Amino acid sequence: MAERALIWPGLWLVLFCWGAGAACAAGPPKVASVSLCGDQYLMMLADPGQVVSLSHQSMSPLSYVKERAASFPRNRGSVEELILSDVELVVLNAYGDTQLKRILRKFGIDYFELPLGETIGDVEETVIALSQKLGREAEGHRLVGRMKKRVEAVSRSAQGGAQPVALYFRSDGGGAGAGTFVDDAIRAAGFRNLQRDLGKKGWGTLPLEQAVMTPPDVFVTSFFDTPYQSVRGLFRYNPVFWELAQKGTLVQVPGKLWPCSSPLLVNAVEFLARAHRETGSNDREMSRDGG
Amino acid sequence: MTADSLTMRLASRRRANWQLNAALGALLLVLFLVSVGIGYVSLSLGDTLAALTGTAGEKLQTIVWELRLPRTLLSMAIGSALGLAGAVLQGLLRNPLAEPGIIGISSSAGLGAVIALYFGWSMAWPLALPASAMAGAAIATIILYIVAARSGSVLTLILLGVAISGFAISLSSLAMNLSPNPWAVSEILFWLMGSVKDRSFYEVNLALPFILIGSAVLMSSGRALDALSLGEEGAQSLGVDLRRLRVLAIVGTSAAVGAGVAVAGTIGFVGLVVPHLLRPVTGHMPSRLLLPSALAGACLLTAADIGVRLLANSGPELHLGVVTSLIGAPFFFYLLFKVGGSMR
Repeated sequence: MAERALIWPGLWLVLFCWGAGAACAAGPPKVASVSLCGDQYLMMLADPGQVVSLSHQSMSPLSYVKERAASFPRNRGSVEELILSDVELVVLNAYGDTQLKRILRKFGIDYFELPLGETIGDVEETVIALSQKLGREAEGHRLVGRMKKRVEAVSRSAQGGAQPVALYFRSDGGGAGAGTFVDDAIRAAGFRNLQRDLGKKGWGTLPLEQAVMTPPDVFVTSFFDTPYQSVRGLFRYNPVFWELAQKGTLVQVPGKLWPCSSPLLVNAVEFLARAHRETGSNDREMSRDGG
Repeated sequence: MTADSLTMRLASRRRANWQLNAALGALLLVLFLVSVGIGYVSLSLGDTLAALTGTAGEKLQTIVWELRLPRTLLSMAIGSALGLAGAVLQGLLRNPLAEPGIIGISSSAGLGAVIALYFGWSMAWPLALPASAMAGAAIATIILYIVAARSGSVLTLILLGVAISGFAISLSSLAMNLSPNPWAVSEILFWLMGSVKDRSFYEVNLALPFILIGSAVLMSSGRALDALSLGEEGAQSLGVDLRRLRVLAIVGTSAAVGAGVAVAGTIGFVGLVVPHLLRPVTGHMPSRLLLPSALAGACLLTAADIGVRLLANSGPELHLGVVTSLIGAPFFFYLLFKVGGSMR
C-alpha cells in the first residue's frame, strides 16, 4: 500500500508533463549519475543546470569528461545521497546495481539503465532514449547526427583498402569477439577482428598460444595506459605477448574512450582508423614479412 | 620382536619407499610431458617433443618453451612446496589437519603479496612481491606455533587457522579497497583460488629460487621430526634441538609457501591430501614422508593445471584452487570424521 501511495503522485506528474510537453512546469528532471558511463553521457547530453551529481569515478583517469566533471558534486552511489539531493532521474548501468534499482523504485525515483551496447548503432539508440528522458531530445538527435557523420567519413576513407587482421587485448586479460562494441569499432575502422574470424563471441580472451599460431597484423590494446597496479596487469606483462606485439603493429587505444559503450566509441573508431591508414601504407612490407 | 626382524622390516620399508619415490618421479615425468603437450592449440606428441628438443618451428617452440613450460614448472614447484610443507607441519604440530591453506599461512602470504602489489612496491623492486608474501607467511606460522605449543589440541589449531585466514582475507580485501585501483577488489578471487595462467619465466625466476631454498630447509628437518614423533621430551632425550627444528620449519614453510603464493595465489588442500594418502605406504616416520609428499604434491597440482586447461575450451579458465578444493574438501570432511573422537 505504501509503495502504491508513493508511485501515484509520480505517475500523475508524468502524465501531466506528458500532456504539457516541453512547457511542463517541472522542467527538465534533476539528474544524477552513479556510473562512469553515465557521467560521460550526461556531460554530452544534459543541461549543466539539471545535473545534481556525478559518480565518484567521474574524476578517475578513465573519465574522458574529467575536466568538465570537476565542477559538479560527486556521489558515492548510495541511495541516501540520491534521496537527499532531490534527484528525479538516476542514470545507472543496466548490469548490476540491482539493489539500488529496487530501492529507487520504492522511493518513486525514476532511473535510466545504460545497456552495454554491442554496436555503435546501439549507442545511438541509447543516446536518443536518454535524451528523451532528460527532456533534451534535440540535443540527442544532434549528437547522433554528428556520430553518424563521423563514422561515415571513416568508412568512406577505409573503403576498398586493405583489411589488416587485428587482435584486441585488455590489460586485465580480456579480449573482444563478435557481439562486443570493441569488435564493431575495430571493423568500422577497416580492420578484420581475428577473434570474430575464429568464431569467438563476447569478451573472452584469445589464448596466447592461439595468437602465436595465427599472429594478427595489428595488436589493439587498451587500459595498459592506466597507472593502476593489478595482478592481472602484472601477469599480462608476458614476454611472449610483447614479442608478438613488436612483430606486428601495436595500437594502444586510450582506455578512456571505451570503458563502456558511449558516444566516445566514435572517437575510438577515428583513433583506430588513423592507425589503419598508417598500417595500410606499410601493408606491402608487412605481407612480404608474412610470406 | 627380535632385533633381526626389526632390521628386516626397516629394510623392506626402505625398499618400499624407494619404489614409491621412483613411481612418483615417473608419474611426474609423464604429467610434465602431458602438461607441456596440452593447451589451447593442439600439438601432437611428436610436435611437443620436437619443440622441447629445439627442432620444431619457431611458433611451436614459443608455445612450448615460453607459455607452457613456465606454468608447468610453477605448478610442479608450488605443488611440491605445498605437499612438503603439509607433511612437515603435520609432523611439527603433531596434528593431522595441519596444512598451509587450512591454518591460514597461505592467506597470510596472500595478504603480504596484495600489499606489495597494489601499493606499487613490486614495481619499484620486483623482489618485494615474494619478500612481502614470505613475511606474511612467517608471521602466521610463528603465531600458529606459539599457540599450538601452548595447547596441543587439534581443535584449537584449526579454529586459530580459521581466525587467521579470515583476518588475512579481510585485510587483503581492505588493502584492495584502499589501493588506488578501483577494480582491485574484483581480483580477490585470484588470491583466494590461485592460478598459473599466462605465467612466464619472469614469475618462475621470481619464485623458484625461494621455493627451492625453502624446500631444502624443510627436507633437512626430517630426522628431528622423527624424534619429535616420540613427543617433545622423547625428542630432547635423543639430543634433538627443538628450537632449531622450529626455526627450520618456520623458515622453510614461509619461503616455500610464501614465494608460491606471491605468483600463483593461494591453492588449498594440497598439503592436506598428499601426506595422508602417502602415510599408509611410507609408514609413520615423518622423514620418509617428506620426499614422497613433495613429489606427489607436484603431481597433484600439475594434474589439476592440466585439468583446468582441458575444461577451459568453452569458457574462461577455472582457478587451480577450485580443483584442489573440490578434491580436498571432501577429504577434509573425511579426516575430521575420522579424528572426531580424538578432537578434545
